[in-house]
Amino acid sequence: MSTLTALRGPARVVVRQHRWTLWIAGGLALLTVAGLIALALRSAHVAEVFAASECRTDGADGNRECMQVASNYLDSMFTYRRLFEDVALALMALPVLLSGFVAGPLIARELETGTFKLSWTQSVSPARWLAARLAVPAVLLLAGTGVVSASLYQARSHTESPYPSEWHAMRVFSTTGTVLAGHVLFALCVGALIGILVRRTLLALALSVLVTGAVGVAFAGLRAHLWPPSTVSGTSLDVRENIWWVETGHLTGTGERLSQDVCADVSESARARCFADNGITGHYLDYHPASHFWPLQLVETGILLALAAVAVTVAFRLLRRRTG
Amino acid sequence: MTGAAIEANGLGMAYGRRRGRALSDCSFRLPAGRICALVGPNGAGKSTLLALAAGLLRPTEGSVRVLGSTPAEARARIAYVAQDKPLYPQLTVADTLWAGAELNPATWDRAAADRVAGPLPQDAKVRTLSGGQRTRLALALALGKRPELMLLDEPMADLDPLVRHQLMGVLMAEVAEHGTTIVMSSHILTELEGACDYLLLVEGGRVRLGGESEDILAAHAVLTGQVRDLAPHTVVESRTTGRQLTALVRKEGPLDDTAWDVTEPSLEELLLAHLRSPEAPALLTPSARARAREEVVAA
Repeated sequence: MSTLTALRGPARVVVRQHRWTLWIAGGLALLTVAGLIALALRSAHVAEVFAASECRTDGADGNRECMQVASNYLDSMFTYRRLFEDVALALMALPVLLSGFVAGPLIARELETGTFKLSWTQSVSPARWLAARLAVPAVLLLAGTGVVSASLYQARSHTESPYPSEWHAMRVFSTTGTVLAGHVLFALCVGALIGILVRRTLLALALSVLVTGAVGVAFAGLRAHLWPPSTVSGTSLDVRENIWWVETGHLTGTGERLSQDVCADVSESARARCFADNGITGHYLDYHPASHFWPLQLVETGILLALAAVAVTVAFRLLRRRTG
Repeated sequence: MTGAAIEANGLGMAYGRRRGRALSDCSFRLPAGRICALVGPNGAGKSTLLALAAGLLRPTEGSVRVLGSTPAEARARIAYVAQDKPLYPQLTVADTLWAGAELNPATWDRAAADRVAGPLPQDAKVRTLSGGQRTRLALALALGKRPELMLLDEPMADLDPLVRHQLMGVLMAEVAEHGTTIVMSSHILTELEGACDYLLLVEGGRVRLGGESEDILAAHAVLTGQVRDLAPHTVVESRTTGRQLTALVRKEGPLDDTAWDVTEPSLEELLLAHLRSPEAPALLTPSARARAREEVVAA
């Protein structure tokens, strides 16, 4: 709490006003980190014990007793991985909850219940009032999500798992690198704008959750297209490890791309015939190699920050136009 | 002439098309150091006028200057208590006063706030306070800010007569000690009579009477006598009973006290007469007249 006491007037008042929310959120973050550490230690221990048993998951050891041991090991590791995924999902949902909180209880409620008349007639301008309402959650959320996502990353990569998480899986990509911070800041600024526009607590909360949720879903669906993918083509594709498949399909002799669906429901024997009929001479694969991780992360983060900047500018303008 | 606490020029405020205009072409001047009663019927525009002066709203027409600058620039020097006494419901009384100190670090006067908030239960949540207790806390915040201008919207409505009297005393002491200007609105004039030395009667979004209470009273007379022509005086309201005429007039020259029984009206009579006679012309004493817009800009 020592960092909080250093915050100035309006920020300290925001903290005091919403201290229960802060205690609960802080408690949940701590519990999550503690849980992740415990989970990492536990899975490391389970993996160690399994390695010491000299059993193998593929049954190549030829030991019948090992089947039960291996199956228990795989079950445990699968459970741990699912728990990691749940934490990742909660982190992905956090910006949506945040924007609802900022739009509703933090901003629209003051406008709806009239306490803005108190806040704006102290020695603090409405602009500083709004700035405090953005700065406090921004600092706390960025720090909190930073710690939790770093713990998650550490815990996930702590042990060799039979179920490794791939860098491009939605729950991994969304909770590593910079995109999570981008979504947090976007959610915050959109929440502020909607709170000021709508001025009704519940309506602002619902609208903000909808908008931020929709943007989150849109990015999850479109993020592979935010950086030009690499392509391999040929008669047979040399598929590498650790890549993100974006799109695959057929190539004709003229270089035209055909959908993968062409000749998809033809029997094996008729396929060569079908390929010939359609002029298909090869195949292609658009993919992102692991080296595209940062370009993809940074482009998405950049778009989110630009949208956030627009939202927050409009919010301050509106406030200024309303109060003079 | 001392500076103006509030100066409005052609001030107008419309809340969207459907709800009509709360104020229109409203011009007046309130000299600093006065205790001003802002009176008028419900919906006359009193709250809108105070909110504009407090910088909570931006006027749709004209301008208002407060303490020589815009309301936004004067924010730290104005205290405003809204009619519904908004306070953060989740904070305690002590927390609310703490917030007052945090939000007004340059001017906060703990002792002034405690003089009013003293009797309140310090650990009680604001949401559990009664209407009168809320008023007390809201006034404590306003006084603790140690403002040059206090804008109080219906401040006494929730208080019993004893507390009203006591808090009025605190406000009066504040004015006497620091020369604070106070504007208090009410639709019940008797609530403010005696405490205020300046008067603004607002009706239909305009100022109909403005100036020192004494001067406004002295400008009018109640005439009683036989029915006859009242010229050259401006008749605010007249009533005949048989051959007897009673009229409240604005004096436009010496009164013929051989023909009339002349008395000075009470403030309440005067205001009611004006409210009953919407066609009576507005009266602003010289100190209450806004300077022309060009002069304000030049100043």
